[in-house]
Amino acid sequence: MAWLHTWTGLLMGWLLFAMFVTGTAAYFQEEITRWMKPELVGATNPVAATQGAMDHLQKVAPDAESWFITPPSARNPATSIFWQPKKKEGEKRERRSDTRATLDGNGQVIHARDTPGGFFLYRFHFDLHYIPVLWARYLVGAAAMFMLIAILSGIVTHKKIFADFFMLRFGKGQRSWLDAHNVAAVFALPFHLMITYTGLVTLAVMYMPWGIAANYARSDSFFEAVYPERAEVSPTGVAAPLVSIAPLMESASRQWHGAAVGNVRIVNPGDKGVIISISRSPASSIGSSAETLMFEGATGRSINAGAGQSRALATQGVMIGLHAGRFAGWGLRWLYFLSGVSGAIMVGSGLVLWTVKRRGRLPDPARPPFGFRLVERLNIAVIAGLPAGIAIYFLANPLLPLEKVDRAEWEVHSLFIAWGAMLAWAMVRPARRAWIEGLAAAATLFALVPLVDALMVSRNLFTGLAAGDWLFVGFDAVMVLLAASFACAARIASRVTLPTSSRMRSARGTEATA
Amino acid sequence: MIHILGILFSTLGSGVLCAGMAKHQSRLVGRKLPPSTVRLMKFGGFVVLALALAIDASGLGAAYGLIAWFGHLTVGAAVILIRLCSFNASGLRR
Repeated sequence: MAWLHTWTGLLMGWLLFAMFVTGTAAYFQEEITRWMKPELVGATNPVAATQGAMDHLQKVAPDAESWFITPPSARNPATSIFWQPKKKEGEKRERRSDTRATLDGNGQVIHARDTPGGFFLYRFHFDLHYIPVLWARYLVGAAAMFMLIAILSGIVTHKKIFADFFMLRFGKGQRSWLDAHNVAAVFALPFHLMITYTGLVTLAVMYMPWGIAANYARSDSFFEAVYPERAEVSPTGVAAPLVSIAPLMESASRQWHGAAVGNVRIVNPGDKGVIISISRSPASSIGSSAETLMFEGATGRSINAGAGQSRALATQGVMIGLHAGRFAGWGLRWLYFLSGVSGAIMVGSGLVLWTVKRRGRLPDPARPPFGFRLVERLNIAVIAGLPAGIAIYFLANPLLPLEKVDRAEWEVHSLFIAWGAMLAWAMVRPARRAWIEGLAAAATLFALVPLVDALMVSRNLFTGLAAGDWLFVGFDAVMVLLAASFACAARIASRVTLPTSSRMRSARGTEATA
Repeated sequence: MIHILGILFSTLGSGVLCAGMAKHQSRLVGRKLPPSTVRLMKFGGFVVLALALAIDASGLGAAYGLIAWFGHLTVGAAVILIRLCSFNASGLRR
């Protein structure tokens, strides 16, 4: 079973590392967005903010097909709005940025800097970038499947899970790497199993469409049956004003035993047939398929949306919810984050282990074969390069001029330019030097983030502490911690002595550990 | 608050379990323990971990508590591991 673990792990290892890193960061996507949009401040009342957003939409998009409002929450002080203009004949739907806006508590537009924020890291986790979403999702799904196989075969391969539970020996080459790989895997094993399996479930319908294909003529009719609130409603053509939203939101909250409203969708605004759907906040329960209540927007009367959710759908919702962790409060969110970090360490140490194990057996260590060199260089480019790229992404945010055209896109490009540069660097430098330099570069870049932010955005660790702004203090602290960890890793890498006369030393090594 | 208690008990539980293991005994306790004590520690360690689950479940509800418990187990084991490593490092320096 060991070969299965080795090769499933290696083949998708780099993609899995990137997924673990960005997915872990995505647990704090709202907080990252707030850090990247320093213009958003203060807390607002969600009900008043929703009414304000509706008044604003009434002005800018009275004849839209639908409005979508995400009121402020504990994690995000701003209201996000999005509207779909009426479809013109033969028009193709595209993602548009001119039909979305960020509002304050009174429905006034906030001119925050144009940045994808934490949302980009969240999307990259399963949509990647620069390639079609569909391909990306199949690729990511294959990686997750490999991960599941690697975890299960890893459990079988690791025979002494309990006997070696706390075993972590330093300075013993391959043995140490194996210990680190085991500890990172075993300590958070429940999380790794859960996150891999539920990750597959999030896109299961896409990977296995046959259930729907066998029972529904079109996949759209399946989604309409499952989510009645998404069904298309034709306008009547008779104009009618909207009721005020406060009583509807309050009644919805009451029905959910006080849970907050997550979003409000208004279809056919201004028409007599207007429908208001109010969905529960994903923060209020583990299950991700948020309960939705529907109202007639002209009268405020509640519409019975039909039978409740089936058990299979509820199960799926809970699995997706467990994966995304939107329900998690601060304590649980940090536990999710730490478990994700251990997942990244597990994948990273596994990738390094592949080279460490084989380096000792190379016939000529000075001139390793192509495959070995490739794995070694890709390891450096991904394990040191991606974090460095993310640090650049955080640096580009305060540094790029606010009025730059396509600013948000360039923040993302900067990540990949930096990552590509790290890859090129890893390819041309001697491997050992490249490790040290790559890790040191990541450390330096992360250390620069709080400094540059303090210079450019006129806030720093001390003003943050003084104002009790824990979000900014926490972000800066994590950056400093990451910088310290990478510096530490660079130091360790600079101390490692590579085996020179490979065969003899590795033979001696196995004798010593046996 | 519940998280602190949960982590505290998980750390205690993993610490007792770890101290009950022959490999780590000398580092954590400083001497070899008699087999009867080891047996008691193995049992006691699991009891303390179960207690952590009980605390989490009563504080956060069964569902949230169970999820948090798995996280607390991870953190608790990590704390013991870091403690072990620091023992090892000081042992090396000596």
